Amino acid sequence: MVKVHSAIVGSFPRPKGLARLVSRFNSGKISSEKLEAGYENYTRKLFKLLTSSKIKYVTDGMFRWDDILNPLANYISGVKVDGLYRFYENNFFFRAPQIEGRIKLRDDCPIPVWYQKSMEILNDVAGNNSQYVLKPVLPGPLTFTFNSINNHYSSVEDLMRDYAYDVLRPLLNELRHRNASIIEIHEPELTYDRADPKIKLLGVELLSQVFREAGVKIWLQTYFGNACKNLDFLLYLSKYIIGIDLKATEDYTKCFNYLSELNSIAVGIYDSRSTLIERNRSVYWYVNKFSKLNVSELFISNNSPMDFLPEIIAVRKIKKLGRFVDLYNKNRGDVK
Amino acid sequence: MNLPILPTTVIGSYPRPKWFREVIKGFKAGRYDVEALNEAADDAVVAVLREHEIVGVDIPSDGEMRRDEMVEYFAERIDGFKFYGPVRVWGNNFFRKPAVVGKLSYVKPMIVEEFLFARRNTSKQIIKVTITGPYTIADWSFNEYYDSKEELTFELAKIINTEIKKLEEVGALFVQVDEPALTTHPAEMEWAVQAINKSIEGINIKVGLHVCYSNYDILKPYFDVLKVTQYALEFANRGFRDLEMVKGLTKELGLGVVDVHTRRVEDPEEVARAILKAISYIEPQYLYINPDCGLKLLPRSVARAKLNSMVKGVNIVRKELGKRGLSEIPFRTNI
Repeated sequence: MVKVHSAIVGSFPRPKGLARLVSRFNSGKISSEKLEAGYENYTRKLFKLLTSSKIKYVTDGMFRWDDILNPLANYISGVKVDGLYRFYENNFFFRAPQIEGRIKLRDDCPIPVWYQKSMEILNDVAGNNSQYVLKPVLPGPLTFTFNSINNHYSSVEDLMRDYAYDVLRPLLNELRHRNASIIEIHEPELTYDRADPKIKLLGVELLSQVFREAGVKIWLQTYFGNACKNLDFLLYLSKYIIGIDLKATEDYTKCFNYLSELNSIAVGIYDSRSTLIERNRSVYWYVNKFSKLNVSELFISNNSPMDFLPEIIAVRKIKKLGRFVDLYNKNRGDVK
Repeated sequence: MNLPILPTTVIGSYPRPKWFREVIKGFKAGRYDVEALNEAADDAVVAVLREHEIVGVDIPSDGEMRRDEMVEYFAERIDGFKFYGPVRVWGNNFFRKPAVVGKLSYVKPMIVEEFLFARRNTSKQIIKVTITGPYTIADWSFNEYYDSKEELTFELAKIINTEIKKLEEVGALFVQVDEPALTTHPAEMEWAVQAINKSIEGINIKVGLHVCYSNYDILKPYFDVLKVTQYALEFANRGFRDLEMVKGLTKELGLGVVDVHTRRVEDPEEVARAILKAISYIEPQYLYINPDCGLKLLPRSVARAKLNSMVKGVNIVRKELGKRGLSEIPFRTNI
């Protein structure tokens, strides 16, 4: 039977205490060392929550990120950060990258260093030989392109290519050198009903090429859109872990049998946009259903970044998720 | 009643004076009682109204001094909501996103006293009163009770309608319904606009609709369906890129000419150029001038400087329009 793992994807709500530190730093009231200590402290607290909840595949909560594109956009040459734009249909806004020249990752991009720092904290919390896997998170080319203001490239295809080759690829390489074993790529745009299918196809071709060269396990996370309606694109990347938003894919039975063609699937059962806590009974029903798929690994996770939730609810959901998967596996007894 | 051509106004919120923020902090820490808090809020409203008047804004607001946030404020006053904690909106900014946990009901007037106090403290005939629309309250809340978001929105529409009727009864002349979430779920537009119409049903005063940071292509097909007099839209933030979409608009346009998310203060000539661009798509007699959105997140000095530039920019264009004999427009309550 398929292995069932617990996981969280994307961000954890930025704690108010950390937000206060960021705000004090921005107004020059505290030093960068103090802010850095704050990041480490809150990351440590999150790892304690995740490990005590037995969540195996984790992120560092993306506490240093304002949204999925920032601060990465600040470390790409050819990009200026523009006005505030709505993040898909959410009451959540991001600063759009304004493309003013040919884009290329800058040498001073600190994301790999942040990953390493988070990894050290996780090792400290869980022990060096722990089974916890920390996934750095990066935006995919479709998501970057469709949430940017393009004032330079003559086509979105060119912008996507340069992002894939000159931003994503070097970041994946750098993260691999720093021993990241799985990298989480966020591509909500792939399942969202906006981009032309031809552009989506180019997006998955670019991802496929860059992933192949990366030599590291990839977790492609989609959200806000229906995975069934975009199944062909997901199957193109079938050898990677594919994360789907179950809430946005309520009609998943329509494509259920085809999902077995994926190597691994992460089912976003826990809704990051609802305060209602999922009932174990319905989660059990879904997990049983998806465990019948002929995939090598099944991950149970939240369905999108958790920035949309109050912290107290995110904590409850994480605890429930971890406890559920742990009990589920224990009760099955046949899977180690 | 007439107004100068290109009437200047605000969208609603304005930065709270620093001393008022200190009093709020002190109130939360137990250092001030509610009387002291209310007195400070009154003083802050007077300060904001004066600031708007001194700068030369034709239709001021009370700056929403008493409101921490546009959904939160109403959710605190409608029975059936609960708060779990803050949720991030962008960068390092949060709001207390409410959750609907029971049947919603109107308790008592929510902003009528606010309006009456502002009216007593300004020399201006018209004050803009802002109220968050039913769709945005529903969209920015967690729904744990109603079977559907549509059912929740229509329940809220009844409550908002009651409040606007009370505002009309006490003499409010201009209410702006704020619906920044309106276009975010295109599939819900059909019933969302009906819910907004329900919220303004039977109202005979001027009703504006503010929609910002949105895809206006989704809003455009409903321009004539919505029973409002004016659309207050954000254009500076998008570099006035989508202005041509207002061509053929049969209602008034509240044109956003200053970006509220940057501290750079636009110069008056820049504002004038934006207005002239708008005039190539819409008759100036149907144009109001305002910032893109509420100014509350800016430092007060920057907010004031932006309003100052806005008014100066308007005056540049007014001079030109004066030469064409255009100096006044009627205050319309129905189009």
